[in-house]
Amino acid sequence: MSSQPQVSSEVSRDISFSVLLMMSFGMTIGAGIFLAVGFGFGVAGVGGLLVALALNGLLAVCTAMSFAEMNSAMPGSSGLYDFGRSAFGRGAGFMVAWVEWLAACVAGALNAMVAAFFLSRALVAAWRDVFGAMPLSLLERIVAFLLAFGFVWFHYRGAAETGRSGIRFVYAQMILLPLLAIGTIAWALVQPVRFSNLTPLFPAGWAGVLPTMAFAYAAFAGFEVVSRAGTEAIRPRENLPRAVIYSTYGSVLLYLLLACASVVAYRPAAGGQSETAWQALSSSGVWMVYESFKGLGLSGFLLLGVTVGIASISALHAAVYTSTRISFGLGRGGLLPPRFAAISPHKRTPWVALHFTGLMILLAMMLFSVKGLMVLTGSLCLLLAIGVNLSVIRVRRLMGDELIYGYLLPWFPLLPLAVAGVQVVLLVFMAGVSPVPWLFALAWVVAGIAYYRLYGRCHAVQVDADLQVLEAEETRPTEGQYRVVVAVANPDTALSLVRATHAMSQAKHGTVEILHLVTVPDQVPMSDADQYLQEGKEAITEMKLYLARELPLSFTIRYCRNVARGIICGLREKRTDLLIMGWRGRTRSRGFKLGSTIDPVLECSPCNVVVIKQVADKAFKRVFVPVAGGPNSAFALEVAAMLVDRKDGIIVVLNVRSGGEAIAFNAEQFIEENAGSIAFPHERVHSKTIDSKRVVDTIVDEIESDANACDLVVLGASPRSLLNPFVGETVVNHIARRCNRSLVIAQKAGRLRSWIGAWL
Amino acid sequence: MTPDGATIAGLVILVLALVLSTYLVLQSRLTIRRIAQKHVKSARLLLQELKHE
Repeated sequence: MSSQPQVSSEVSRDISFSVLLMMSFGMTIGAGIFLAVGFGFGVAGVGGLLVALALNGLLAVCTAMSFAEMNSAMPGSSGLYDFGRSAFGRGAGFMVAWVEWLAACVAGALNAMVAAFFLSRALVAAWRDVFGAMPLSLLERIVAFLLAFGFVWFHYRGAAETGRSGIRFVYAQMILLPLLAIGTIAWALVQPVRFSNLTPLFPAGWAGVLPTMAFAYAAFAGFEVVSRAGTEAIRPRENLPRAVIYSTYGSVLLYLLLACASVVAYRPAAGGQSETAWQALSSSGVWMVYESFKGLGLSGFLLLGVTVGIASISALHAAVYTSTRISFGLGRGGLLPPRFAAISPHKRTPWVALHFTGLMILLAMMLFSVKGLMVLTGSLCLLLAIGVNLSVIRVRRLMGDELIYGYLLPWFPLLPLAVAGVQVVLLVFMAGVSPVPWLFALAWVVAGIAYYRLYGRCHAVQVDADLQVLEAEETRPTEGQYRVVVAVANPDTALSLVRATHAMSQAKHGTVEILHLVTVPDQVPMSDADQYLQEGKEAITEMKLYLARELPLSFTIRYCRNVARGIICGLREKRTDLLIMGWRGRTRSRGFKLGSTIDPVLECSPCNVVVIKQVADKAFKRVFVPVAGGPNSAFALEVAAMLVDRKDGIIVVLNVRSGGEAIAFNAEQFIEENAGSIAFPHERVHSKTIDSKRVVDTIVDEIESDANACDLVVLGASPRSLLNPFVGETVVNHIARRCNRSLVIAQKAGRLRSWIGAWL
Repeated sequence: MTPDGATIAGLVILVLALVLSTYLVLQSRLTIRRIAQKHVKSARLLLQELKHE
């Protein structure tokens, strides 16, 4: 028998850290900084400009850190689209790609126009006879069109098969830019009179700082191109974050040097008393750098022209590549018409996506001035940055237990939240800089939402989604009816939950749904999850045999990669009011307090949660509720009232005072306050207060004491910290682990917590 | 010539922004290196490990 040789395929990982760094630099540093320096100098003076750039740099570094964390956790992703989709779903992913698509096209138009500005002046200087008679603005447009057209043709010919093809431009740029900045400052040291340009530092006060920050933001964006190299990068979890963070920081330092150089390049008028550099240059607007570098003579001016030209062309090249790739990807995913995914049979390039990108660049050049393009790019980049900062929070909260991280940003989630907040403020200020492009950006977003709802959502190709419901007996509760979901991974657990579920659903007159979670290994695509269908059906059949006689139920089998995430997504989709789940009373998973499923569910659940341990199928005569006045104490009492035997059961509200409480808790008063919300005779709710320094030991002793005959303990969950849910051990967790009696942990969904939990 | 209040405030903000950016970059560098030496998987475990060091 002849054996066929097995052929396997793998991606070659050959992009080193230095190439990643250069790619990130290349996309970040373009013409934007030269325009930003001109604008900022005019409205804020040199001091305001430097402060704005430094603060923008800080924002950009923080955003780069969020981006780096996402990249390290999803190194094989295709960038912002995947981040948005993983965090907020396909609709959000589409919106991110939609915004990024226009941002890349507009950045291309911007860089083409800046390159054309310098190139047209060089043409006039070299061939005055030919070009001198033509209006300069017309010549600029023609050159810009030709540049954009040339790059579309260049890409169509297939000369740029990967994002690395522009790396030569970047190397040249990274030599010329520091040379221009440091050389100019060194030249000013020889002629110290140029440093008088630095005064006054704040000629226009502080009012111009925020508009400058908003306007200059576009110059700090672009590093997202690195994520597309994740599948080809060497040690991507390590190198992608490093490249993104270092390139952003390097850009900040370079920008500050360039800003200083642009100011000291101006040659003050003889005598130096007539007018300051700010007075002389502020009227030049975004082209201040051009006017300023005239003060360095022909060599300095040529160096500026070549540097800006190369930076612009490098960024234009990357912009065409990026926007084509985005529209091609959307076309292939069915989110744009399928024509966008068409590949030229001759050139093997995505010709429709490419030509449409070229058309958009041309339209952008026709519709907006350079300043308008800068505002439009900045507005779109701010929207994307806000999206990244929110996505990083949500992905770590939803998938933090299952992803492999190579980098974690500090001060989570305060830092990304604060940065997103500042970016929203900048976005508002951007409207004041130039309202028309800002409104265009807004209209583009609205158009994207409408397009997605009317077309994209219906035509999207099914991808390997994170979750998939294969079998569901849908019972639709009437609006406003209380919805109870019982999540079970093990059918045996479900049987022990019958009585408790029955009691709680009866008390709330609610519907009950059994959600059976079946995990599908990472190696198996969700599209092939059918092979696990039998396993799920067998479990459901067993549960039906026992449960359906007791309760009116519906059943759903849900296939997922991770049980906790499957539960949380199910709760959101079903708009559940109460989740009931079982707990075996211990955890084998390192790093978790109660368990690898229960901890994330308690942290992220958008609804009330009741966790049940060893609850026997019997009536509970003495239910202990240890309370300390926390936000879940009242809910714990409510749950106890639902579970206790209604004929002759009693509830004991137990409070242990250690003496260190900021506010003394009064158990009697607590019972009085909550008497109205529990459907249970007030006289059968007792209180017991004990003074003891050893709170946990005392509570456990009381519970375990045979004299007390406690047969059920209901604990209110300790509120997790919204700022850092991963740290700290709570009294409730200690008690829960040590308690040998039947136990229930109750957690109420707060209004704010639910809202934040639903979005982040 | 004595610098005015705006100049001093501007310089302080500038220096603070630069120092904070530098700190964040250095701290990130350290975090990446420390995580690269570990064989833990999730964000939760990494935070615990990093916290204990």
